[in-house]
Amino acid sequence: MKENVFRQEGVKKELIQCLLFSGAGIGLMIYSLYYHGNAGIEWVMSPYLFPLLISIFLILLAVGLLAEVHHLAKAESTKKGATNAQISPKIEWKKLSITLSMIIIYYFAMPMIGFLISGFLFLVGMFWLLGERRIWLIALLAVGTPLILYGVFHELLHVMLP
Amino acid sequence: MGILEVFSYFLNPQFILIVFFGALTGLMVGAIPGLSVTMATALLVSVTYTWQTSNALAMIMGVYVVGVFSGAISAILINIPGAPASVVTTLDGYPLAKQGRAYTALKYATVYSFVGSIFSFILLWAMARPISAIALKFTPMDYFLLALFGLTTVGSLTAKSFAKGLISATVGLAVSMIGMDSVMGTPRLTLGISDLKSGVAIVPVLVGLFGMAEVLTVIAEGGVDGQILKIEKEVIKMKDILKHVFKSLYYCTLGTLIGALPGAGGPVASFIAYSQATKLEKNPSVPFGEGAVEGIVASESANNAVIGGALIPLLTLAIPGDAVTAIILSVFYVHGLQPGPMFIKTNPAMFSAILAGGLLACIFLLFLGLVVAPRISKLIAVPKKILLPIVVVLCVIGSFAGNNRMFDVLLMIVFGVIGFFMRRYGYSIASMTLAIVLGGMMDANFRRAVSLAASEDDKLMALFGRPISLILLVLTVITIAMNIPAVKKMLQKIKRA
Amino acid sequence: MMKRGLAFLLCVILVVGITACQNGKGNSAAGYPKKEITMIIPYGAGGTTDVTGRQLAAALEKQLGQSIVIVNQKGASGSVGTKTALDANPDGYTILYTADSLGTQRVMGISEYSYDDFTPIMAVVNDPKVIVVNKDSKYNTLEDLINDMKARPGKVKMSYTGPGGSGHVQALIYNQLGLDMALTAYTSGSECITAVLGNQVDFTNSNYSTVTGYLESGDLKLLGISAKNRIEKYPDVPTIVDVIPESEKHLSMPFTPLSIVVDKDCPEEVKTTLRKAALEAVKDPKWQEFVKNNNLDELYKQYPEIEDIQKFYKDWQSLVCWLLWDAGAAKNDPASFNISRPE
Repeated sequence: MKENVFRQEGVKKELIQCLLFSGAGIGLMIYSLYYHGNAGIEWVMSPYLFPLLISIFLILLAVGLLAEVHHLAKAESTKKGATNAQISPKIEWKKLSITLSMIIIYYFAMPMIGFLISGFLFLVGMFWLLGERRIWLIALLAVGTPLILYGVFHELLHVMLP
Repeated sequence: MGILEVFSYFLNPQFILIVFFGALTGLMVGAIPGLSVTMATALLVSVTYTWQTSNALAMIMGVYVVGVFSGAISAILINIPGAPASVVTTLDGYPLAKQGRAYTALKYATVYSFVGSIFSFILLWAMARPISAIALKFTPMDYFLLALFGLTTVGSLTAKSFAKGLISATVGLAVSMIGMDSVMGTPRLTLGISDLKSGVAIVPVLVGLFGMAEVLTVIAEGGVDGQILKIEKEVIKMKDILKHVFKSLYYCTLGTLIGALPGAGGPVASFIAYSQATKLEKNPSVPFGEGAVEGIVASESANNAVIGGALIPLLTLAIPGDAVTAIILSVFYVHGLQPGPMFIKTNPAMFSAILAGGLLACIFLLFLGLVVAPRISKLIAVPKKILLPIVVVLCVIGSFAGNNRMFDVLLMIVFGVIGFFMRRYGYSIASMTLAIVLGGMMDANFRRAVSLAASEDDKLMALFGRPISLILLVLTVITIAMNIPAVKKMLQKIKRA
Repeated sequence: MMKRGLAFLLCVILVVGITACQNGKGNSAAGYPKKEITMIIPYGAGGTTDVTGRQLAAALEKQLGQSIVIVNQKGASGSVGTKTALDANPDGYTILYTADSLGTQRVMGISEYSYDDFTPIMAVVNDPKVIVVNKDSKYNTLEDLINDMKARPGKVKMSYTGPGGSGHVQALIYNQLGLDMALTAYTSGSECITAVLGNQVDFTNSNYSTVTGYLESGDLKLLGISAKNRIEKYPDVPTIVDVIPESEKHLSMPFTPLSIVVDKDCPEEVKTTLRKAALEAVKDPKWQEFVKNNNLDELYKQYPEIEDIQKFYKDWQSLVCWLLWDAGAAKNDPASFNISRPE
């Protein structure tokens, strides 16, 4: 019975999360202890006190999460037709990754080719990706938005936009 | 600073116009995701440099009061809070909007923001000195306990998994540790990236976690074809809204007091008020987190009450009560005013200007909120595929403009991705935000308290031997204890017996 | 309806676009400065650095004929703003208005920047450090405080802004004079003052301009000046040198110098123009009034030539960096940066 519980799809994902957090907790703990050792201050005053406490807490919680998941999964596997209720709707990974790449390119392009141009390119790309096909609208918004924002922020408010 | 002086400003058309202009600006800044009131005020310092001081203050008050309120607008309509102080409003505001009842949410937000602001201004006017005297009595230990108490409210923010909510908060605490430690100056968790030395600024994080993550989530779930939501016209009776006024006064008091504590501001107040609401309301109209207007009442009353509260230490001690008042302080300097304990006595005209500006701004808030906001919310009917990319660009500017750094934009993107995954796997973003806001306060003040007590002979007394500290300690311990499931079960058994 | 809205939008875009392009043209005067200059203030809005910087910029604008745009970039003891100033083109259109932390960043391990990366244009002002206590404090004179610190070493509490800050340097100097106090760090100068007002600590060491308001209202008592000269407004308040004569060799230089600097790779023309303009700007009556009201030391009078300023920085770095290193507060040995011990 126990094996079945842990093989369920949803539970696997939760397990990964538990591992992730325990790992992070342990990492943080090692970090705090190492640096604290180097600093040589008493614990109560150390900047690494809280990080250490946090790491301990995190590890405890990861274990707690494990217990919670186990509890829930057991409860659900006894119900007929248990579904993976925890997983959210289908994800369009392609669109998401393209969006993310465009955002990252936008970030790097901005200091190089300036706010206006990079903004324009980004907006054109995004509108197209999301399905907008009215060229006049794309042109209008992709040109207008960066211009207006530039006008307000750079001219009026003296923000140093690239 | 008699009543006459304040009201004389009400008769000055230029003053009124400027406050209105500020109010409009505040409305837009708060409502546009990515732009925040703090950023706008900071930028206004340069803009108003050459203006007459009373006009500069008028503009700033307009932006401040309405800006804090309008953070709720985007929080409700698109689940992206306009400022850290409006994070809690998303918890119940957005579900309401999803149910098509955005009008209700907006109206409640408007009315109670108004109540919160007016309440705090009255306190500012009448009781500035006594309140600031109380605020001064708060020692670092008290700040630590307050932050700890604030963190215990995390329990009320997580609808589903308690452990996950706590994990979010813990990770948030870890994030707040990044940067140069304020007590010893040692860099922590900077992993060799020099840009991280100044820590993780809350605005880019907020914009990323809520704004960018929301955009990513919507795109990933394929919902770009529709509109964000439909809004039904509703008739909401004022009577129903005003039912909550008494509880609201409690939240307002909390907000003003927390605002008066330097270093604690809107986010802290609204989180604590919300958690108090979850305890006070035995039978909310709808469970909290699914569209309970009581949640909006708490959050909006408190975060607007912070305004008057934060002005108190500013005007009586030249110590800002929150981020925006810190900027107002610099406006004083820039215009040649000397803030300090004598400020109210030596500059009664400025004090009246601030009060007048604030009160006028409240009136405009009511007007704009009731009349204009519903119309603006129709803007949300813009198709998502057009709105979302523009939101991204706004997020980019909003993160950049705070400190003029591209790195903040990178932070925003990183937290956007983090926020996306958090949402997918059921981790509460609000808890993490709360922890990031409170983490620094907790850590630094704890060590300061220890440092202060170190040179005393009786350490335990030095740490806790004060009325405020004891009260906070007891409250915190009780709250933590009540949240442990085992204790809860025990209490339920006792009740039944 | 849509069409009208669109037409309006197009007009707005055109107008904004045209105005945005105007900025490049600027005035016709040949040479520097042809367009607006950005002054970076590596601290938040409202602090002493920010306020004096803005005042100076207002006077400087008139001399240069171009507007100066102030950009605040705070963080990491001023190193964030410093980095931006160095990353920018060394064309003279980005200038830095720095505080004293630029001298200690390397030793404190905050960054690799120092005065050596810049050419000074002018040393502007210094805000004298003063010792203040709560109005109900049991100390009434500077001697009371000093005697108590001698009698109960490590028990008298002082608030300061953390390692490396000017308050810390002052504390270390007091240690050298045999005074031992218990230090607690707060995030900013004004928080240190709050700590005194709230009776959490016994005294603090502030910049004079930040405490004037409290002195007037009586919430704080001014016990002493941490410098060689007394303050005009309070002629009866002694300086530390009055009470402890040996301290003179430690307190003989300004501790919180604020200066205008530019990237050392800027063209000579830029540097000379800025210098001339700055020296004229400080004669501006509004600036003079500001300086008088806040009792700031006018450093350009003490260090008129660039060589004087550079020597001042060198001496300052020697004194302060070695003080920090010897006290164990600094991460890096000043010797590794060729900073010699003070003579």
